[in-house]
Amino acid sequence: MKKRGNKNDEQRKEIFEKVVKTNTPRIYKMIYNMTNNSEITKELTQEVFINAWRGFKSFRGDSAVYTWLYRIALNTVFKYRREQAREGKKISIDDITHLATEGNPEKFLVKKSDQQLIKSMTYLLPRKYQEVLVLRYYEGCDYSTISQILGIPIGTVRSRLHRTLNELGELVKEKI
Amino acid sequence: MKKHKRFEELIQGYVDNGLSNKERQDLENHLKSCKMCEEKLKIKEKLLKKLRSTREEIQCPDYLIENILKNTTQKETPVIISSSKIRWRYLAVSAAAALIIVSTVLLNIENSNRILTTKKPQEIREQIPLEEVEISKSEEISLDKKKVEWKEEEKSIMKSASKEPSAPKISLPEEKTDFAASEKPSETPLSEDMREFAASEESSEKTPTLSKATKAPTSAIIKRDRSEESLTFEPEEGIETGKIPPAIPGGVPAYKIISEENFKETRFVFPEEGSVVGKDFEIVLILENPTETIEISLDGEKIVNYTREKDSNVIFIGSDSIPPLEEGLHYLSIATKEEKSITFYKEG
Repeated sequence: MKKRGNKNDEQRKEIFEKVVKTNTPRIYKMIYNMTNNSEITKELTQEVFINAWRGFKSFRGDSAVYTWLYRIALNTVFKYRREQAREGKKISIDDITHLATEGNPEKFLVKKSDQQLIKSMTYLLPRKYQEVLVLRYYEGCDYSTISQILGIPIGTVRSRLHRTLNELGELVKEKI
Repeated sequence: MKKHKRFEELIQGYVDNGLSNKERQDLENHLKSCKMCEEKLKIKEKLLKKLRSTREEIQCPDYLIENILKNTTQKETPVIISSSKIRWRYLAVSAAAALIIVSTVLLNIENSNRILTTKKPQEIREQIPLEEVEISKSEEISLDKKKVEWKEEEKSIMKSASKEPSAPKISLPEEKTDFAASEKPSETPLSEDMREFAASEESSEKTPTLSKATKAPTSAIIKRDRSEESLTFEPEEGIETGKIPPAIPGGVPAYKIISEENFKETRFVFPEEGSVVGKDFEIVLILENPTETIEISLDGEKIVNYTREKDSNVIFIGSDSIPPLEEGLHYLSIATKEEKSITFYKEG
């Protein structure tokens, strides 16, 4: 029995290593687009996979691995933001705009462009709007995939995206 | 209005390519006769174009995958590194990670409750621009009872000290980052004491070639001289020079090799820039090699009480495992016995 258990463990490790190699770039990119900070992105990406590894035993394979990872990644990013907020690190619009240009300070010096402003505005949206926005427009997921990741009906994905863009449009209109 | 509401959602589906053929047809027919919906479609398309243009196609660093594997499948018990626990930026050490790290630490300790804060973080950033440091060595390196100072205002003192023949000093070459390549003694002007030391060590097979030019007295103040863009080593006042006691019994004398241009990072500033570290803090070190045998010292005192799981590359040093820190300069060093080179590199 014990031997069999070890064999299963080895197989599990092997599979998970493939999962890590295949999905790390994707998860890294997604988190980066939500934080615009490479240091934080590295930390959080590691955290995503460490959490995934802990839960990998109970991963039943009902959905594609990457959708499962996306869900963990979203939870990780928002947990991180909550912690930041709890520590009193409230972020002002200027901070956000600065965040959005981190790594490209010259952009910031030249002009706070509309694009950067739009990106910074996305951070101000409610979580449920940010989730659909990131998955659809940064990750390019279709409605069906978003529906799987978030566990909501496809119709809700569309209506939520509609409200997300309306809200974003309002926020941007105030600033531009 | 109800009709328009329906079409507004269809517009969303339209821009997302998420409509059925029938829905698409319905909307296109409606758009021909409704200027308002047509306008909304244009606004949405414009916003989306801008939004999509903000997407960054960023590549993840290769070593991240390796680090993840080391912390997951290659580890018996996964360690959760909570982002909130990380009080120190990752110290990523190259795979060949024998190392000596001297961290210039400015701690401002508020009296009663041991609150540590960085002092003038911007100043620190300017003073210690770390980017890449390579150090080669072949024997154990450790630091003992040494203070590290980086004070620009002291450069005048440095200048005068360097003129004193009695003040041993090593000026490291500006351009050298790989000390294994720096073998010419002429490039590192040695004091009389250091020459004596180097000569006495010539016969020793063990001594790394470079250490002759880089060994400094055990008790030393390392100061930075901005005018020469180099670091200088000086003996601490009252310390007998010329004799270099081993930092660890059987070990080689402590020394520190570093040059100005290597410091292009604030990675070693503790606490992290701009942060306030409370009474209970934790330093997290991440090595690339999980099997690396290391020794950690704080202000020359060996730390033995840190947390590191078997064959883990993650090391936690809790505030409860080190003696109370006094106000002033502190440094952290990590030493190994193996012959390796070390690279501190900037991430991202």
